[in-house]
Amino acid sequence: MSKKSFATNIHMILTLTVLVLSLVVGCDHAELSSDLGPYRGDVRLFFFRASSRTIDTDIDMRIVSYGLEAIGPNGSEVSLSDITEESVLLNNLDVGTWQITIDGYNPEGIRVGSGCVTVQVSRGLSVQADVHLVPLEGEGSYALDITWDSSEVGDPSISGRLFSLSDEDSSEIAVSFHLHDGLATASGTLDSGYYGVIISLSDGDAIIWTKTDILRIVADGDSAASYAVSGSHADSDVHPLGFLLGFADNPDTLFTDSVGEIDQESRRIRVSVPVGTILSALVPRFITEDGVDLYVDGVRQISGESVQDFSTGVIYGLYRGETHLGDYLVEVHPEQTVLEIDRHGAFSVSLDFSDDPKDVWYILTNPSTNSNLSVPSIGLGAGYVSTDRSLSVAKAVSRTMLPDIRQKSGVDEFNRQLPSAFPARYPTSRHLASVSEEIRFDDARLFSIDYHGTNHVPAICKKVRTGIDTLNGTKNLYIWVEERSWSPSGDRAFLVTQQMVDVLADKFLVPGPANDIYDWVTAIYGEEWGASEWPNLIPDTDDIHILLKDIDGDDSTDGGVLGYYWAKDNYLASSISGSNESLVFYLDSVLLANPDGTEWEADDYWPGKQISTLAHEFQHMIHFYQKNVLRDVSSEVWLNEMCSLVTEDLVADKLMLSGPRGVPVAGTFDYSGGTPGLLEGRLPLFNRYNDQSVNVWLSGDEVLRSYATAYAFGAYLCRNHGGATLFNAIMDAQEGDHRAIEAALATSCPDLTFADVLVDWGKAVVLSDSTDTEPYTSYNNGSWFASSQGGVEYHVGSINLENYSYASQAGPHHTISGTVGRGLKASNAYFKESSVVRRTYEFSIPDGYVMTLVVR
Amino acid sequence: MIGYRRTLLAIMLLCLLCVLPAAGRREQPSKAISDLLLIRGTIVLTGNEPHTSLVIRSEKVRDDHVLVGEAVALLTAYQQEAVIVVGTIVTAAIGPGFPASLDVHFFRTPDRVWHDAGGRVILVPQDVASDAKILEFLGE
Repeated sequence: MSKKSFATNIHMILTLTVLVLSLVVGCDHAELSSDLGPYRGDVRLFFFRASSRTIDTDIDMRIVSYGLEAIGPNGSEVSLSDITEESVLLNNLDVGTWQITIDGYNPEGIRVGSGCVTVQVSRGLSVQADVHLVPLEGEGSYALDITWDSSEVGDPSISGRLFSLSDEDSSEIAVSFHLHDGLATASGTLDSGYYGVIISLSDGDAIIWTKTDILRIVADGDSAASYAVSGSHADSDVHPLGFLLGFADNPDTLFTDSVGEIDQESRRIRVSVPVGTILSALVPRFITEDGVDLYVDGVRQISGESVQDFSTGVIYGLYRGETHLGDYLVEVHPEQTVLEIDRHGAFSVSLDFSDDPKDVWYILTNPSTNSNLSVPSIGLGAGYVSTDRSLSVAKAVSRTMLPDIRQKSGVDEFNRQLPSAFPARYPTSRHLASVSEEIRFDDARLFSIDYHGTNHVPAICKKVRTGIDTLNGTKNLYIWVEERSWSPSGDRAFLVTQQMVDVLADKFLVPGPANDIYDWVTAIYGEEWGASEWPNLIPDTDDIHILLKDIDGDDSTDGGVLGYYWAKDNYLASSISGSNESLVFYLDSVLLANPDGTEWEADDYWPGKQISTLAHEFQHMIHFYQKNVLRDVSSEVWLNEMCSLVTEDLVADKLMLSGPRGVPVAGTFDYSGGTPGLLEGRLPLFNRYNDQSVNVWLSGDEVLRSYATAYAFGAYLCRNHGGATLFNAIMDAQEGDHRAIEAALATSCPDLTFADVLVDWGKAVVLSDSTDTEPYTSYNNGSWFASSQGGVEYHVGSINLENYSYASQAGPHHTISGTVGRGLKASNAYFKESSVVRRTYEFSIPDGYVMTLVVR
Repeated sequence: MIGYRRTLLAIMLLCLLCVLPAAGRREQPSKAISDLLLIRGTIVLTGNEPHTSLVIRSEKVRDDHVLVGEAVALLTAYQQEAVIVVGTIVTAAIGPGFPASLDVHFFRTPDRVWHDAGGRVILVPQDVASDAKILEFLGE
């Protein structure tokens, strides 16, 4: 044991702390800064050492004392030795960076473990840091020998295999035995660590004895074990019938039951538990054949009572009376990073990530589509969080950041009073459907803009495009511009020109297959209109009209209502007097004409939004025909709007627009999840209000939250369940609510419920910065998600919600303690704690919730 | 409050005693009482922005009634939840997307509390028109 000298200006305070197993290698880093105080600071170090188990090695691996060497700024050094406690306080260290190395020594003074940490000492402050001691790396040797009565084994053969318990790679290593008369020996070298060893002795073809054990290899050490085969032959067919780690027996440690996988061939039992599970004291529950008992280290185990330390593998011996029937190695692997939890009420669970601090998320899903629940809470009990703990928690949000895009809000948009008498040259737009052949360029019409036909706008036809072949037959497009919006005579802030109309027409309907919004959207959802059984609906028509007007008459140049579709126009005026008796949707003219600079370009910000809105409103038009008319169901608003928002998403790359995903398009379409600081599209607002009900539609300014939620949910569905094909099936379903999604999923995932989808969606939100997730939990694969429908290929880009910011909040909103969400029906709410080392979480989860743990 | 109680009592008695054939273009899940209609169903918002409709949807025959009147603002908060509304038909159904509209006079929220159109709680005498009798009337 090397002796270190004391530095006279150091005061050592030793404090016993809890021992925590750790296998981390490398230097940790701790930092705390301040401009206050003297030019010195303190450091308190906590030592965490690897398990002191010593199995079959000639070196005692128990650490009973520590030595410390610290190198600071300007050549400062501190050395300590013979530290016998588990922490040490170093006072009055020079301000700056200190590299501290801790060595652990066994009772014989042999160095058996080491760890290091980098600490930033700041003025007048005390810094706390953990030092993880791990066994020294290197090779060690092993020797195994087995003896038996050669008179009882006529045709002996022996086999053995090793597998690492320390590394993720647990592939088996064959052990070669040398056979002698009643003796088999084997030896070799291995890297330091724990190994499982399984040895079988056979007489001819019959296995007569097996042994499972754990071998520890330490650097420069020799490990040896001898086994004597005696008594009656083993009954190798006897095995545990079941092995379980249940939360009922381990209420403070486990969230759920974890069933062990029993492998009779290798005589191993594997139990998978969440990352962070404390393995040092678990109570297993097991089943054996009648008369067969399990023993560990000679102690009979009682199912549901006996406690074991599963930090490394545990050998369970099977006995019938005095007869040893064989051994099973039980390994508990803390490896689950996503876990659905079905525990309710008040309970606490502790997690430990001492070897590698983690971010811990809890997602609270209210899967009910019709009932709110009491609000759950998660409290922070005893614990410790790394000094680099994230502070990106929810903060007060400025309402001034509300996105300025919506398809239309309020119900008074048409109350603007216009003159009741118009010049005689304006016929009303009624019967447009039946007289379309008469429409010519520069024709003038009056369009009714309210339900009762009280108010009208005069408009001029500025585009006539007829006889365009599509998959749905020949179609005709007419684009109208209200007079006050037409250049140069209009009085709006920005006026529509022929160039703009031409661009709009080219985006919506041009000759050729699969090359315009009409083709792309109808390939997903079907035709926009056709025959029906309703005599008061307009007859079948191939004419589609777009009216460009200053919606609301607000002359707004930076937001407001972009466009809308209103089914009143699909009726004959004899039923709804305000009908325009045509397939028409409306776009805001001022925003369409608003350029980024002095020259108008189709890919300018507002024109681009308006082109995307064409696809959005066209979906609504189709939706009315396919659902209301053909299937006699009126879709709920959230479902209808979700389809429109996803439609924008599905055609965004074809139009070279960012769409609701909001990742900028610069020259080429970016299918990646983008980069931090994204502010456009629907997702910044979703990040802020991600605990909203999916199937409740809000009003007023809050309607934007509903748009955001609908897009986030639809984008998730699109990227995980078939893209355009799924949305075709949603439209094809006979339902107009969440059951339409279940029906659409029935083919590919027949057992998936809407509740399951909500839970998976919550996982996808948390995991969106990962491109490698389990099925049905992905927003982000680093590229596009492809689908095909109606002969058209669709590609939607990845989404990384961590890249979207709303005011000062980046990434998905979450709470850090206390109540989580609002308990709203069909919603998820999020809790997150960053850089957790150890923590006891105190839950109060009302019945009905599904809670999901995600460890990152 | 007394006035509301009397009015409600009258409505309940009508509900219980004067069942008339349903009105509307299709079979009604509810039962028409004189010009009053009592409907049990789920509140949902249908259509697309900005032309949405708050409707009460009966699952029995998948029929909708658009809700109108002062109570609409209050009932919007109960989307996806089961309520009972009592009101009068003010416009007949036209066709797809435009069902009959019902001016709501009274409604019962999921917590089984009755309200007038303004949202004020109405006390229902247990011996005359209890919830149980109303539900019996509805065939529950």
